[in-house]
Amino acid sequence: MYGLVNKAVVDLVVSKFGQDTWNEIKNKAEVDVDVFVSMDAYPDDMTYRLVGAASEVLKIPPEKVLEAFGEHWVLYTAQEGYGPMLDAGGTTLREFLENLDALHARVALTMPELRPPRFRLVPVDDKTMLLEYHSTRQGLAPMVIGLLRGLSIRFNTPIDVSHASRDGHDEFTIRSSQIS
Amino acid sequence: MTGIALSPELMGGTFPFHIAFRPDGRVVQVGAVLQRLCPSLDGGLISDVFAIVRPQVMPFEIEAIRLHPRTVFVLQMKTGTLKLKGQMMLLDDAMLFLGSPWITELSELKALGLQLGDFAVHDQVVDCLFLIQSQQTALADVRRLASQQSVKLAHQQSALLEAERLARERLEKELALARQIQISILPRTLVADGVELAACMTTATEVGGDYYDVLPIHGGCWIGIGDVSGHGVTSGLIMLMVQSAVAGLVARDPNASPREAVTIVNRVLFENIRHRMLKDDFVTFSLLRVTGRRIVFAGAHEHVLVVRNGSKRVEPIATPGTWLGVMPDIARFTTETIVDLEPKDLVVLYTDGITEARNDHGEQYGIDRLSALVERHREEPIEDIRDNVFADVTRWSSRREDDATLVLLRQSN
Repeated sequence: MYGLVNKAVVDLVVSKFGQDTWNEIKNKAEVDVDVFVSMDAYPDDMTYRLVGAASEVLKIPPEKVLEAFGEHWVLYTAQEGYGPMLDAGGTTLREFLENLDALHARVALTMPELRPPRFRLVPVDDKTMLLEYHSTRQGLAPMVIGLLRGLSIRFNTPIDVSHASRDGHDEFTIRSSQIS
Repeated sequence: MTGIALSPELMGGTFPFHIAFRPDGRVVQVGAVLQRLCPSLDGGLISDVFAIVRPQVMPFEIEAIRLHPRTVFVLQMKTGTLKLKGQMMLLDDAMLFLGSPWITELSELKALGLQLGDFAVHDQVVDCLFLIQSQQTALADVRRLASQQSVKLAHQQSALLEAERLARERLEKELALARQIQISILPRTLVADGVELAACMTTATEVGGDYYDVLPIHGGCWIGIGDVSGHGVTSGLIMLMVQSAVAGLVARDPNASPREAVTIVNRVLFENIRHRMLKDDFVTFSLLRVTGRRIVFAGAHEHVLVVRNGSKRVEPIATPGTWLGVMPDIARFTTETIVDLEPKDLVVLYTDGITEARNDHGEQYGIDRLSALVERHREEPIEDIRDNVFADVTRWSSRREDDATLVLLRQSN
């Protein structure tokens, strides 16, 4: 994972629980990094350990940690200078989800070690969309749910999300009265 | 080659920012996104909506444009901020402009009302923008790290300065305490049978350790003068020991031999300094017994200057011997010297703070200047002589780098 991801984890924990809690999580995860560098790639294992340790220290199930992280990711990247990039993604939730895969594909050009997830948006009807999510990484589906929540806040569009694991990928059914 | 032809619809999606116009400037085809941004373009005159920024082509006419077949064209919208960058291609009956918005920052997209989906998938403008964006992020990261480092450094430096300040403060306190010890034990009055006496000691902050004492006895007095090596509390304590040991010996036997007294004081100091305090300080020290017109002294320190009333000249008398506190027994190296005084003879005792005072050129005050001065002033009241010496030394050296001590004695018979 790129340092930006780990920085977002730090930011989430520190802003909600304080520096001491972060230090405790970092020690438990045996992560000996003081400052993550945004554009540097770190082992995935480190991010997983941080999530596991956060779950133990905060006494929250790991999937809830990932969900909270996904939600925070939208907020965090906007404040870290990626606001214009998010703006380029579209002005409505639907536009943004349509561009989500292109966004990741284009970003991959500048982050050579990135293994970006792949997304496919399938419109179902004027209140329902299906988001397919493919990733080489395991167990990050809860993060996508958080991500959708964060986008729902960003575009001020209330949504209802349900998740299903399919053969080799995940599917999220997004319902809203405001997506047509 | 048969090839394919793009229908205007397909062309509009594949090149969302293209413009095709006839020789008269009439626009006949516009890309889908550009049409959204400039609704008046289609069917209008291209020169009404766009101006050519690059190259230098005036006016907006096919005949002029065709002279620049392999040139980057930059078009500027006349009523907005949109710039397009691309190329002009001459067709049979029209000119085709193929290009994309010219943007250097992602944030411009929003201002232009554009988003990712408006660009053709094959268009690399957005990739460039993302590249710039990620470089800016990396740069911002570096800047933040650098500023964190300078903040850390500033903290460390101020902590270091604070530690230094505290250490200096502690040292200054210790020196003040040492000075207090040193001064507190000096004799308050100088009165003895058969002699006039005057003395003064000035203390320096940096180096110190001067000592003098006058102990009156029947028919005279004992005078001690010396200098403890080093400075600070240790020197002060050693000086106290010298004073106490001498005072004890004199109280026990006012007519004791100075040589024996110096030998015993050394034994006490050697034991205390080396074996108890575990230091290697030492003391230069002369001890004089004055009875009637005779002075008997022992111990190594500065010369004893005797200003003879008869010759009006200074007679410098050496003080042979060795330092105190360096070896367990100095009896072998300690001798007694006898000086017999005539009435009005003046005896001058001093420490190196007087003779080694340096002027701005680094020149020492010296024993000769001191001798000449006391010769000149020898008949004055004894306190005036003392004050004149200090005034002269202060004129010589405004900086007080070492303790300076002067003890004067004049045979009053």
